[in-house]
Amino acid sequence: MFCKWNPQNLKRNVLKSSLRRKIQKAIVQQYPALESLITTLMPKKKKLEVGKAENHLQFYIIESTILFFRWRQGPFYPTLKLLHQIPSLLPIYYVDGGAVRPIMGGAQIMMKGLTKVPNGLPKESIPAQKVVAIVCIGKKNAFTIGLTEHSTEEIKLINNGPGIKNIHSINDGLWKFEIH
Amino acid sequence: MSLTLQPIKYCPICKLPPDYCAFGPKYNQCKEWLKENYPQYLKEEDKTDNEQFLNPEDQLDQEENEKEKKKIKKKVPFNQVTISLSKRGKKKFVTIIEGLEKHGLDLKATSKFFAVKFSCGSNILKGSDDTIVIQGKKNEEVVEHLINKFHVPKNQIKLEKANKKIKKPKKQNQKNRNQVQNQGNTMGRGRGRGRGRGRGRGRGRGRGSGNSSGGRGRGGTGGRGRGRGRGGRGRGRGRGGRGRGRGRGRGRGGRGRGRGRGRGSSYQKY
Repeated sequence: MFCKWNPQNLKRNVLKSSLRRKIQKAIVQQYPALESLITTLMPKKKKLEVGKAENHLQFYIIESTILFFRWRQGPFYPTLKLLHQIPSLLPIYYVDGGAVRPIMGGAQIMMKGLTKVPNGLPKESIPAQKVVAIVCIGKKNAFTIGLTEHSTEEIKLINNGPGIKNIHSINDGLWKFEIH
Repeated sequence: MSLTLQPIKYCPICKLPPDYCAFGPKYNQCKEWLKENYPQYLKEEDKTDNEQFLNPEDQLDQEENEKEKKKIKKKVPFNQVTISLSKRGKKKFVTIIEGLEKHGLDLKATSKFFAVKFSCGSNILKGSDDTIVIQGKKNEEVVEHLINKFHVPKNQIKLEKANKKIKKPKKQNQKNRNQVQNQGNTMGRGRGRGRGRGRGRGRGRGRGSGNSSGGRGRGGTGGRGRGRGRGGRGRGRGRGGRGRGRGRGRGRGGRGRGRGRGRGSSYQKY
């Protein structure tokens, strides 16, 4: 998604506290494990800013670091830099080493790549339209964030075509983006 | 389930998490940093470097093996007859035949036979016993005779490829006049004293001194003159002239005082 993303002018606004509370509520609703952490991530004294880009993209920024983003009213996606600090936030799919390079270049993740790995699929079945992290076999950290299009059972059955949509990966435009 | 924030170290060179340095763009520079901190995340090829030189004896054995390989040169099989060419002067060639004695042939007789057949000279080389030298480029014909007349089996004849053509050395480029003169944009101010070969015609109004008086006399003939003297040589279309008078000073143009257009000096490249 963010392969060749290099925005020139990002508009930034400070959120007022009523809106801020709404957003914090929505994040906790989506990620219930973040209840205790949300006050350390977004402390009250610091201002939460919203950055807006093309296609109705919104970022939520604290102290010039991006924490979450989303399109319109969709699900909240954490950035990879956040995810590396909280590794157990998202469910994990495993992938073979040969698929890392193409995925970093922006490819979708195919079902065959997921079923190829022994014990690569998560134990609990994950429904469609969920935010998910992808890790290479033998490594610890995630390298992409994706959105599932089919549940895990369907992936096992169909085993053909794209299974997870690639949203944000290492060394792409969002990873390199810096706010001053 | 309460989560905590865990700090993470990124690679200082490629700024990726160290597990993925191998997939990043700067792996070669990351290697050293990885060796010290996270040796398990190196690529497999680089991991084995350390193990090779643990035993110094193994290293010595490797070197000896390589030396032996170099010493074994290609030995020519025993019964081979080689025919090759070499040059004598610019155009002339010479064929050399080696290895005929082993087939039971009398060298003198064969060399005489070739001389008669090809109507050219042939000799036996003084230093060696085996080689015959024939004047001219006769390698392919020799092969036929060897097979038919002297009954040398075909497998044992080797025709070496013709020598590669020797390239003639290039003549040094003649001085490119344009290059010498046009250094940059000279705006016609250039060097061409007389070199300008432009097209302008000296209108011959004189030298363009401000007080041109019709420009008789000097600089041409007041009409279509050729810009005698200066103009003729320079021949640029200079507007020149010092004065702004009517004197066009076309004649002077050649000197490059104006916008000369010709080749050589007044030629400009924008």
